[in-house]
Amino acid sequence: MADQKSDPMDSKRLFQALEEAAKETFETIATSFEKQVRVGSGEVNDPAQIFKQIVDGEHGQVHICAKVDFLGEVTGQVILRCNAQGALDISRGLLMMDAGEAIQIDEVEDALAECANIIGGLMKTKALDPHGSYKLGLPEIFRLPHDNEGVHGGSLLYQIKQGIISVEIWRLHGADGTGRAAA
Amino acid sequence: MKKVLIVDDSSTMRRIIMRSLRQAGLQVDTILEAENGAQGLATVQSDPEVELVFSDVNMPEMNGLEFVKGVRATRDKRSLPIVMISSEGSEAFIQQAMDCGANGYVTKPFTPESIKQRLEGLLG
Repeated sequence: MADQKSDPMDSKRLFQALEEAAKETFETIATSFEKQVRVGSGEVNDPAQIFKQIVDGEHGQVHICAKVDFLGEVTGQVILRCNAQGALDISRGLLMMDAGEAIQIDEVEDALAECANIIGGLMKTKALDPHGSYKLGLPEIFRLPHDNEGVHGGSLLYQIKQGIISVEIWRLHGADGTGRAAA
Repeated sequence: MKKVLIVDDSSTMRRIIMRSLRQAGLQVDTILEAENGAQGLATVQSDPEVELVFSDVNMPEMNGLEFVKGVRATRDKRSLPIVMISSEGSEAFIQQAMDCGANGYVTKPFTPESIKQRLEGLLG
């Protein structure tokens, strides 16, 4: 029987933890949400293309991304990718705002960063911490296109009210699936 | 309650905590804000009316654990209630925060109800 500690970063377990973390977060900040698409590790190299095809159509839109790094035996990133409406829906939910309440762009960016931080923190607790000492970086905001350097570990697309949000995991080490950090 | 201090580098999180306190029905005259542990410690040491503190853990300059240690090292602040709020949710980390002197710990994401429950246990 495989010892879980000998394979701490099992990709499926990590992706499952990400899904649980996203679900728990969205259940707290939104009255309703729905998972639209689940793309597992190795099924797609560029989840941005999936997002564009499903959400943006031919013309494309500006995406807003929030990322948080996890650092430990395996290093990677949790990325939250939103279209404009998705960013608003997440922000209003997190800030407990009414539908008509005014919101500033810096508040939206700060809220998205916090949401990525929450999801990353939950995933860390659920999947990473039992296998060692991990740290989360401070969340950052990107305006896409954003070139990910790592290996795509899975994506989840959710609809919250009218907006679409993609939650992705990228691994910068352990790309061979063994969970081993690069020497 | 006269004054509550919220220590968090995220203005969004400070705002969420404020709204949660209001929705939880906690009566507070004034809510003070600090962006890191150093600012928070200076506020606690200079304002004797602070009766409750919420603090993040991961912050620049001075993190939440250092902040709690600093408060506890202040002569008349050893019993000031401090609740840590963080996305760090491992049992080992929560124990570390309590060992540093925190009185309570809330993991994100949280609801006004979960804040209320934690305060009921802490403030009686």
